[in-house]
Amino acid sequence: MKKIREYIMGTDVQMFLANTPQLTFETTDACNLNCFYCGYGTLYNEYNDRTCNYLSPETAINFLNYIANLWQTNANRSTHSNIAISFYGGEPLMNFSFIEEVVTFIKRELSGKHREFTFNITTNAVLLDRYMDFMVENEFRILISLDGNKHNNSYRVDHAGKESYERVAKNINLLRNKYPDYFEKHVNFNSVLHNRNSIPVLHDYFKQSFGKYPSIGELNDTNIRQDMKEVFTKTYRNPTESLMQSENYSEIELDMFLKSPTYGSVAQFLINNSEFKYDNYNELLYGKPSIDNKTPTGTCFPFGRKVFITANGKLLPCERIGHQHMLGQITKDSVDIDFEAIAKRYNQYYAKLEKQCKGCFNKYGCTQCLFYLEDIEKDVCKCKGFMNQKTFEDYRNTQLHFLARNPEAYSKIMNDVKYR
Amino acid sequence: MLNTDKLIPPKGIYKYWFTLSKNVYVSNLSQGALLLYNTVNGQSFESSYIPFIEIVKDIHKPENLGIIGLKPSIEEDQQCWATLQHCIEKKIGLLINVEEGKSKPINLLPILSLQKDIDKFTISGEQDLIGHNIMSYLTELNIYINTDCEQSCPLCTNYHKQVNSCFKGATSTSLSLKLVETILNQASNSSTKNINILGGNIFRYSLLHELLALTLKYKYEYHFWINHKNFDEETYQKIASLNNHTDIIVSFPLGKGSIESVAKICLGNDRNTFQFFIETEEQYNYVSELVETFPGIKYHVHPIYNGTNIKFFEKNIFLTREDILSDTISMRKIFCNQKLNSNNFGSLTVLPDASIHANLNSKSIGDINKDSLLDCVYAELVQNTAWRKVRNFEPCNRCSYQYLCPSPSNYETVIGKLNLCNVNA
Repeated sequence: MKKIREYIMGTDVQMFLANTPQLTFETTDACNLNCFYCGYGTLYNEYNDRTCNYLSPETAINFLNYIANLWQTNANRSTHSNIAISFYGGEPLMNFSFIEEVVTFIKRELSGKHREFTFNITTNAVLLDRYMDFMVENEFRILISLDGNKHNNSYRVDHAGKESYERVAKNINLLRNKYPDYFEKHVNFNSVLHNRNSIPVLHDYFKQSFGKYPSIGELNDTNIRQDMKEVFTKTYRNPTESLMQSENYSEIELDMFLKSPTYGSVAQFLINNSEFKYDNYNELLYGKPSIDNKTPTGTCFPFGRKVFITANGKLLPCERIGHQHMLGQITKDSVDIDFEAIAKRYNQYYAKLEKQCKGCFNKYGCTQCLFYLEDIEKDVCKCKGFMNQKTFEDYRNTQLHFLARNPEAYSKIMNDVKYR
Repeated sequence: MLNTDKLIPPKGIYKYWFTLSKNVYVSNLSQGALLLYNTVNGQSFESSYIPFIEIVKDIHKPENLGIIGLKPSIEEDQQCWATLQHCIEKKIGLLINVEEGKSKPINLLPILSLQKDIDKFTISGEQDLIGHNIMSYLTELNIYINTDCEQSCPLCTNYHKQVNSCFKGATSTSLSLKLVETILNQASNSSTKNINILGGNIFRYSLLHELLALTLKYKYEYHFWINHKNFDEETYQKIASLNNHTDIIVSFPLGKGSIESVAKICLGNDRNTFQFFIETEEQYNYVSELVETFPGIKYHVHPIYNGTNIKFFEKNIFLTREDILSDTISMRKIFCNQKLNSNNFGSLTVLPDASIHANLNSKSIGDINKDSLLDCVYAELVQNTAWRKVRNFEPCNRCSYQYLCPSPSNYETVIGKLNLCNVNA
């Protein structure tokens, strides 16, 4: 049998976990809304896949203790560094007691020399009025999902089909009026782009209503049900096209900076491709690693950027990856992670894609996650991020054209943007 | 709809586009003269002609994105035009004819984007990002296991402040084997490859054989530093037999035993290096003759400042413009000189009293009895006693060669002169 190259080893995976900068808990997969475009909604094959699981605090605390033990070993290469504890759902506030218990545990038992903690939550804000005092007290960074005004937001409905806008807007204003400074510093918005809103509309709505600009996401275009493809196409909007439809696109780009699809894209292009960008002091001193040593695709190392813990205790490298790609399992009294097996699995994926990556013109700046490739488990897998010379030149020219239109963006990105 | 009209300049205004090569480093743009240096072909060019300096400044304004338009009248300013031509000849600048109806080109000139820049984290209040994954910065350890030595070298306490060397302590102290093992164990998750074992006279370390056993357990490239005056063949052979490196220090005056006899024993061992410390040209000549009689001998020669040989340094060590520019300096090296000290970065030294230093001329950043190597790496990154000391001080910060020059070394500290050069003498 042909020996597979060891791109990463089990000890590397353990080190990635010990130094992970983010732990995201899916506090529950239940949600008090039933948004039309939800990844678990009627458009997708995973429809009805969720069974109202609630993650127990004991399970989370067991895992936190496991990680804290790793910080005492040689696998730990970090100190005084921040670890973001994120609460995600479903709707995370539907399991508020979990959040309360985990936050209390972390502050009481884990804050100290090796790690500092910040708390994040992504919420639909339906229950914000009940729990906002706790979040303010613990300096949560709150990301509120809202698609714009009443019409823009009308895909976000509850299980009875009633629109959520009025309740959400009321709660946001309640938070803003009671804690204006906190709102200014710690509250942000996240919008999904579709056929009932547009980037110019979102820009104007959030700027006028809250003096902020939202992060904008596209509808997930993978795993769509065959019979819903037409509906999906009708609903989907491309962010760049949406932006360019406005006469004031330049002003919007400047206002939204990295949250604008064009600005964000050029920043990513420069950070990934500029010969004047260095990750760290070692790269400055010894040079950048050879492309031959780069692992194929743009996939994050397992646990390298975050750990996602599902409501039923599965460990995943990210919340945007299907549960079939789980890397471990936790319960209230066990943590099951086989570092060697994870390394072997990734090495098999890498080996499958290495040849394509070598021929790809975007190999230096690739952001393609291998878990988004539908055939990743098959013997042959075609990378949908592959760029031949022509596609890469088109991509590059698009970015350079943006810079020609916005010359000051170059120095701003090179001087100010930190890519995490 | 995308509007590209504004990218096309009005007809007839400009005759040329002028830009600099993206390989060109521009020094002292804010002062009255500037140096342009091509980091690929090594060509350089200095100018104090104000109109030309203004052109270079304009090229660097963010809104011009690396290129400016030149009006037809530029050719009437003969000095400026000649300067531009000179730049072009040296492949430092580029002149492009403006084509009617075509938009202004762009050129992405060098701007360093260092993602984990500690200065930037500090300014932006993101100190919690400094300490992430920092053990990879540790690449070398110097472990002084003892201070005992029976020799009385006249410059004993000076050498180690300048170069890697043994030194004798005022009192007898040694690092416990347990602490040595702690260090070796903690370093295993760093990028450390080389570990220098130094003393005192390391042969007087009572647990040397146990320490040698540890070199089999923890896999690094070990270098054992031995003064030729303390050379003991049997112990040397034991160290060498375990595939460890030996570094034989030869300082003047030489010891009673013949240096030739030591060289004969070590010859043929490609893991052995002689480290010659010289203070005069006569000593240099002696070393040159010696090494000629031993073909294949591996050696390094290190100048040593003894308090009275500044002339020797001025003549042989101080840099001239030609010295600085003798090798092509890459853009990465210039960026590196702006951000870190390549002599010190990544190295920690543990002394027999358990104190830890990023450089032996700097204050202690920890105590291995209570601080881990990780703590010390963090402390050094934050306190910057040595690793990020760059030429941002007087008089270097007024010099065009500021970041073309190598990082400040121990010699500057020991001599007490911050620029060991003749550039602005």
